[in-house]
Amino acid sequence: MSQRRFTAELERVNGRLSALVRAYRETRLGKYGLLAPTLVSVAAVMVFPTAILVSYSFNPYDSGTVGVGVTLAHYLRAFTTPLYQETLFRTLWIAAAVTAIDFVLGFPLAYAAVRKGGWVGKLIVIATLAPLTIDLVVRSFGWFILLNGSGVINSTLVTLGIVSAENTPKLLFNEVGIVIGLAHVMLPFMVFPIINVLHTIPHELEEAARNLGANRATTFTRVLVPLALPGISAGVLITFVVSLASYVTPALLGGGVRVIPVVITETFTSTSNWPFASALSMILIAVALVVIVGYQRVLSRLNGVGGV
Amino acid sequence: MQRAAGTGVAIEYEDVTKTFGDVTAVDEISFEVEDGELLALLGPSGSGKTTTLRMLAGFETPTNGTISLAGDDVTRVPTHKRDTGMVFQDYALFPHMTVGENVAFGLERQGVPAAEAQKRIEEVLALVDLAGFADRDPKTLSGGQQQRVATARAIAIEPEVLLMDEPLGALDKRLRDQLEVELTEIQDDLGITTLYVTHNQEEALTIADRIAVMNEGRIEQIASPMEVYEEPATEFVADFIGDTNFLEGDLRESADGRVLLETTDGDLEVNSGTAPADGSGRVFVRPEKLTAHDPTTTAETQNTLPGRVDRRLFLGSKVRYFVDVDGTQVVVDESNRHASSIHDAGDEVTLAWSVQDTRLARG
Repeated sequence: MSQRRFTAELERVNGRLSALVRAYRETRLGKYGLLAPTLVSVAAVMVFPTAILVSYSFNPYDSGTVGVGVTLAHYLRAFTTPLYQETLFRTLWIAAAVTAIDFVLGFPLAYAAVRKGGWVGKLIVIATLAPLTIDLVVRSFGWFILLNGSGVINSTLVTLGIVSAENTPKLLFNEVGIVIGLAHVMLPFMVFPIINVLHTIPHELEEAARNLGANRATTFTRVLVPLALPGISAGVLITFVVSLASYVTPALLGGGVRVIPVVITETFTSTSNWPFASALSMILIAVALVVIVGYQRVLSRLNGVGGV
Repeated sequence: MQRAAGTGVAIEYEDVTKTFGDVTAVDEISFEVEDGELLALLGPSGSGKTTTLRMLAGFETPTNGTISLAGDDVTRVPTHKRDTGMVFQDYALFPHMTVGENVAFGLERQGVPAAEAQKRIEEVLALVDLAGFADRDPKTLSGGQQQRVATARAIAIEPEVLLMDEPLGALDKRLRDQLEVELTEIQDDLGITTLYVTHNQEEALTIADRIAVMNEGRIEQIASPMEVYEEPATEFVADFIGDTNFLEGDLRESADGRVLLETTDGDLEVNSGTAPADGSGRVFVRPEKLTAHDPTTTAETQNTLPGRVDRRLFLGSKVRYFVDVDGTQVVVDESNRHASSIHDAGDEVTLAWSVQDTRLARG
């Protein structure tokens, strides 16, 4: 069979298959049938395990295993023990700080990538994306080299005479280390949604604002931010929620300073108190859901007022 | 024009150059615009007209030279501190604001009190024929209406100069014709100095007090629309504005001081004081200056050329002939005064026109 005949035949079969799929999709069975593989996988990897965790979180802890019965003891313990209160609070503010830092860094980057275009824009996109090609653990070890007591940053500060060798700031194995590491990891998730939305905002709108007497700050707050809100809100939400749930970076760069995902993992693996670990997981999920829903509410109200 | 011309210089460009990398967009241009005047920057794309305008708005900084606004050097003044109002080609209306909020934006920046701003918004919207549109979403308006909002927004801040970058470029011809008239009326009523960029020669001829014809970053000629059309300073201007017949031949000066163009069908007299020494420059005549009549009638005081009608276009109010003169095509526009005297394709004709309309465009 010649190449040409083969291609033609392939197209014909392909066309028939698409027609079949289209027709099938119109039927009720087809509608759900086509969704089934997705629904089954989501159920298998998300809903089912979560349901197990929910049920564990109400079971008592019975000498190293999951006991029988219903109890709220794990939730009470999580909310009343100062250590866990502090950890939850720390987890939240670290995620908030990472989000704020990434917005402050990411917006100008995204803006420059879109408005400068050319090789500057490409460089920004590549530089932002490049770290994603390196494993999280490797990246965290990279930060060790930069951040530790006699690391690149501190020795530079000492050499420049900004701090004395005895007073170098502690950048690793504390909140600072976690925030720096996570801000790095999460930056692309802030930058790319904003790049996407900035592409849709004509530059003339900024020029028009400037022409009408708006300085850069006013142009930013009155024209750019309202129009970029869909991208900004996506970036902020992804950055915040993923930071909240991230484990590897805080575990490696936090040292003794823990966040909830680290505590959950340790509880699961080293104490085998699965019910308590499950309760902590549920609390983290609940907090994330509250944040997402509340955030959407605020945004839709903003949109209503701004008319975006 | 009812404005007081010559009361002062509103805009002054002095030896202004703008380069982008290796490309010289604007090449040492100098010109002035008087108070209340509407100057059109006319030229093909890439001629530097938009860059010239954008430098006055402050969107581009000149590589060399100075730009003054109402006597003050604004070359290095940031955009938002310059007193200009700009109408963009695509209008650049803020899509997240209503028509009223768009107009209010500049007034808020100026700190105009809310009550006064409200009054001003209603005034300018009425001026552009959009009274009652303040609460509308600009996205729901037609192109012509969006254009009016953009104009209202620019004039609401009562700027020293109005800048218009192809403001009618996105509209269809009918709407453009209508808005041309309206824009000139508004501009005239307000007496606001205007710099108007267009590549459309008809538009420039219709609305401008003066036209600056630009080509390759330079101003070829700056003069009234009539002068630019009737007495183009350069061959480029003659070719770019209106339809033109260029006539081939050698230029010489006759014994009695007249400038003559030698053609194979005899000498033509040229309306020029002197023949260019280097022989550069081309002789041209506009199609509507020519008449095509029967070869038997002659007119001694006029330039004439024999030819044969190749093709005839009947356009209603006028007739356009394409006449073959020794292998060169000459376009003749005649008004349709007497339908009986219209020539047919193939007719031998004599083209006649006055010496005054036989112009010399310098290279």
